[in-house]
Amino acid sequence: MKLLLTLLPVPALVGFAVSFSAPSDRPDTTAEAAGYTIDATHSSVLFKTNHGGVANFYGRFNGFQGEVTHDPAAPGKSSIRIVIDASSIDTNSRDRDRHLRSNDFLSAQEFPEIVFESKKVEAEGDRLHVQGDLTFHGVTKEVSAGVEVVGTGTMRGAKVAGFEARFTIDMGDFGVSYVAQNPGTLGPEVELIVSLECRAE
Amino acid sequence: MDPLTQALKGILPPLALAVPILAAAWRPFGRRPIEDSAVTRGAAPAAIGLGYLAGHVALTGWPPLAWDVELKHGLFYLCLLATLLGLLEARGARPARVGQLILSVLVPVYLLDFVRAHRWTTTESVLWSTGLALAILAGAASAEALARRREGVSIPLAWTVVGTGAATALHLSGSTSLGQLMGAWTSVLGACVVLAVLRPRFRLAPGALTILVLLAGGLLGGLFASELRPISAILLFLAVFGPWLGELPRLRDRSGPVGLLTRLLPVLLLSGAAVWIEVVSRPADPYADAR
Repeated sequence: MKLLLTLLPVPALVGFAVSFSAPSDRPDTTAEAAGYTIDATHSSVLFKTNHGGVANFYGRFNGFQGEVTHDPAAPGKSSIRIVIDASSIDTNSRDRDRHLRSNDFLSAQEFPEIVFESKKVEAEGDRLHVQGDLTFHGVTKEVSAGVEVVGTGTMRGAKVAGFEARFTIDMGDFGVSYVAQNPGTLGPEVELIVSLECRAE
Repeated sequence: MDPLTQALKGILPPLALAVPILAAAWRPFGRRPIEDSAVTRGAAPAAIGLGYLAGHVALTGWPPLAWDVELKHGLFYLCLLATLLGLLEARGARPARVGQLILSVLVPVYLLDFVRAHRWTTTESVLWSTGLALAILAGAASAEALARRREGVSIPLAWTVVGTGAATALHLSGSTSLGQLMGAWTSVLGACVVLAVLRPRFRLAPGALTILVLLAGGLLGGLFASELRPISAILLFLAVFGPWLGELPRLRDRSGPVGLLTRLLPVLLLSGAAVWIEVVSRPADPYADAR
């Protein structure tokens, strides 16, 4: 009994510590502008495309880095830059990954980076609307996407913020001719789903 | 798109252009002997070059008109240049050595621009580019010499074997489009083999330079822009020199099946080994057991 009473505060302390380190789940619109670095360990860059006109297929990129500036009071001052390592594509099959890295699709050796750099950010209700240059397969084109501010807060003493954006691109627009020359195999549209947890610098 | 349709797309357009050119110059079913002329000499480079260009457009679309194009589109422009040099040579302009030199330097410099930008230091760039240019120059000189020396089936057939090996190895290494592009020029060589059976005086020269440029470009693409094993690329390139076995003093006068076999055997062994290496080294699927 004495031991039980001694140990009783432990779960309470653990619970307190967890709640203290967990960020709030609502956007903090009163927060000041902050510069963040993407925490790749807690972020995901996924893609979704149609396979053979039958099903949606999902894959991911495991290597990426970047910076985000978020100013809740003046969204126009916000910015994002993300650099994805094209050769880090992962679709749960080494043989297929090799094909996707080849010059049929990503040409990952020739164009090792997929880069998005924002040019304009606007508030759109609770969300943000970002416009910028996407460089993919060596071709740079302007794209735009809605961005959800998933949450902001403090975690282990550092300011953190979460964002999720979805870009839809046509592979043919970026010079991936294999898809256009072999209609019905993949895509041609690809949705890039970028879910980022960012930590203040 | 099913594999047969994909293959036909890379084979039919080159043949549609190449066969009429070869037939018009060499009249395969005619009875009179064909005399050596600029037309007969120009038929092979025109058929191979234009056939490949047609296949390239059918498979990948028109390449962008720019210097810094993707590697596979660079093959289009190099083929165009090699074809022009081959046609000039057929007209008697004799730029063979100059053409070989220009293209040997251009192939690695033009196609591997991205490797210099992302991977190589300046020293590495100089060493790699020089080494590759020398290897391509040796290959081009050898290909031209063999094509001049030997008429008939053996040289077009040897090239068809190398092309088929390169197309298969590149496809197995993960690059379908480079494999298909190699298949495009190989299909024209298949037509050259048939022509050489009907017209035994047929010679590939001066079209050999175009083939060598396309093979070297495809192998460099597989090696640096895709995931072709270096040993496979080396074996396929060495296969280009294979027919010299049949030119050794004791073998060079052999004709018929024995002569053909001595020229083809090394090519078959080297190309076959490259394909075999690609087959056995395909990555194992780590999730296969989970399915």
